[in-house]
Amino acid sequence: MSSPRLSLRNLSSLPVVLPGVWQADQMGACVQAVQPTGYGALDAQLPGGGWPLGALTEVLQPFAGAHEWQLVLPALAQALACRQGAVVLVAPPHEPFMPLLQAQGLVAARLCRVMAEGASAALWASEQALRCPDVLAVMAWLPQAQPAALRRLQLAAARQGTLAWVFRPVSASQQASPALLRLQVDGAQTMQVRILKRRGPPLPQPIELPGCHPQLAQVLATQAARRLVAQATGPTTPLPTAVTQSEGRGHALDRLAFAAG
Amino acid sequence: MHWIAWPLPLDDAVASGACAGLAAAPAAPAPAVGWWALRFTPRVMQVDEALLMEVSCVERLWGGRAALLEQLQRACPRGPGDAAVVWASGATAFIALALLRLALAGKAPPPAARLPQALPLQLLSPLRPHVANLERMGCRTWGDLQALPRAGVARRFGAAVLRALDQALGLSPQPHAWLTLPERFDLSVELPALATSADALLWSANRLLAALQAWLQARQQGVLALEFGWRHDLRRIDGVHLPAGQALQVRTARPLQDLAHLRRLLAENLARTTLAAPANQIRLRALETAAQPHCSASLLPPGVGAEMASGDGPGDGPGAGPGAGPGAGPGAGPGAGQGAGQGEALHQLLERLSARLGPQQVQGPVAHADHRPECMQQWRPAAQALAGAMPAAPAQRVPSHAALWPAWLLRPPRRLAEQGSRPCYQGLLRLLAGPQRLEAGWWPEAPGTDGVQGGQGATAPEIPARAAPALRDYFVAHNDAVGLVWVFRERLGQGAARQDRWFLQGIYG
Repeated sequence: MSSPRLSLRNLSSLPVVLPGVWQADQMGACVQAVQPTGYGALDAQLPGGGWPLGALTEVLQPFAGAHEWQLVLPALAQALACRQGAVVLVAPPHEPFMPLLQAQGLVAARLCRVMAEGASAALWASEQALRCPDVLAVMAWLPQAQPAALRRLQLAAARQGTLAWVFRPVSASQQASPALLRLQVDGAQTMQVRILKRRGPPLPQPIELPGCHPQLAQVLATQAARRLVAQATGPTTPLPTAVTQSEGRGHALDRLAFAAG
Repeated sequence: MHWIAWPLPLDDAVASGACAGLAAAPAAPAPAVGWWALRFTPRVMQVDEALLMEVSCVERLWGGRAALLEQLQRACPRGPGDAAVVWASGATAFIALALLRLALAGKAPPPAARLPQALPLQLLSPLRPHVANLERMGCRTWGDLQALPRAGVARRFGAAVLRALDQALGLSPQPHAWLTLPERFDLSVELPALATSADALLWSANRLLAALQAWLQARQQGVLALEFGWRHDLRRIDGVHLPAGQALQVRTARPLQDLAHLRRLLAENLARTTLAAPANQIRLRALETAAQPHCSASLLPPGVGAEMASGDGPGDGPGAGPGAGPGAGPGAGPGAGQGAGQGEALHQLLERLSARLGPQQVQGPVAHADHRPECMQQWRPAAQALAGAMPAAPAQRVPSHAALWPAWLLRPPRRLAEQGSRPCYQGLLRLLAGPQRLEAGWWPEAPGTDGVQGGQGATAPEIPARAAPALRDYFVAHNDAVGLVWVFRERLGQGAARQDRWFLQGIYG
């Protein structure tokens, strides 16, 4: 009975250099290239230190449209800046607002939106996009995809080395998934990222990331501070009343604008 | 002079192959049967059952005779079941043809030293009527006939015999009817069997596409648009008159010679088409062609280029820049589509997605100068927006209020319920920042006649009232169920008649 313990002890002292094999308490060596996420805290917890290239990343979130851009945009902007290729959105839940995305580094001329009706059309479009060497990244919203379909996407992504994100509802977390990396994103003010699956030890506590762009956060903080000051100095006025007060000036400007028009 | 003789595919072999549905590359229709060879040399003619090419003038361009033959063997269309290609070459057209006939019959050619003279007489077509008479005279080979007195031969068999022999031996010049390509590609073929489904049509279309490819390669052109039509076999069905035929057009953004992409587009289009009646004839026309740009070959050996491309990783920074990897990106043009195992170029992907999902479903954004968020961007079919037809937009100054913009836009904005004077969206919303006042859109003259938007009515928003100016106060709002959202309050009316309506227009995703 002592032999297995002995071999285990030997193994722990051995440097493991087999490809695809890592010790359970350490981060797995990432075989493929990665794209840094732009968040140091997240990079530290991802094998290789970023989003894997040529592998599917599955993001689970409470509702579609909640955190996609906040999570993905820094990496996407960086990838667009240093590499060729287009970004393909497959079946996005809403219309991406390009003026903002452009201000944050996404190039409008390299973005394409595919509106596919039906799960099979969306899957087909995602797979075709992943097979195209001129596509840099694919973001696909596939709420109804089955593991077998995701497996196809994973293989297609592995062939071309594309950045691939699949966004799915939280209810899919019980489903098996061939994705290399699975994240669950929650939270309103801040983004709570739980890593459900990675090549490494399980991570019990979520990673906390900023919930909105720093500029927006700054504006919100300023307004909150102003409101606090107003509350401290004057009588407590709820926000809508404050808004109506500020509108008298607006009406005067209205009339001016109409006269000019 | 050096002539190469290549056998033409037999018509019945093609027909039987077509009927049996063999999975072989179908042969080109009759007029186009020799076009593939025009890519290699302009001097091609069709004699009896063979294609004769004069190659002495082009050998050097193809890297020598052996290299040329190798390429010919790779390029020639093969009939169903052809394992090895049979071909022959000789100093004159008739010698090459005679050797080809020997080879096709499975006989060994005479030794090279006695070559033209030892060839049997029946291998020369003009002599065939006289072969029996000549054999009775003991005259079996070209050399035997040459040795006979010319005057007597001319008197007995006619001058044509001597002329043919002289031409065959290279003693007198031979007039050639060179094969030429038509100016415009327009071919139609009768189908061997009625095509009742789009699949059957597509199979037959492969023949025409192969001919088109040969035509394009010989003319150094690429196709931009083609029309595939079919003729109905019936004039009326159930008393309803049918049109004589139907046609569909396929377009692509860049000129193409490799027709795999067009074939896929055609298949996507045909898959959505139902034939009104069985078809008995198909027709393929090239509507638009353009000179095929040739990419220069790389000076570096292929292995080095691949290493450079793979080294162009994310860590290399902007210095590795756009276009650093050879063959990477849409700018690599036609070469990108032809690389083995490379897959298709971006515009091909977009065209294929558009062919299946519809052109309005595959879109690219176009910026538009406006203050109303819903008018700041328009979505155009991506084939136009992304294919490089659009000039790069100048870098715009980002306004100071850009920080408040959301990442997702709801089109049209969603009307929100109100509780008291506060908006609700899955619970009461708390206003965090704002108001940011927007007053724009007073310029449209009347609903419908929208001079500024110029035909973008379909994509332009239909927010509350089209002609009314947009008078809005934007707020960043929040509740725990939906996170941060972008809402606006519309101010309609003045004074006491004022009514506020709240709308949700953006989500900070």
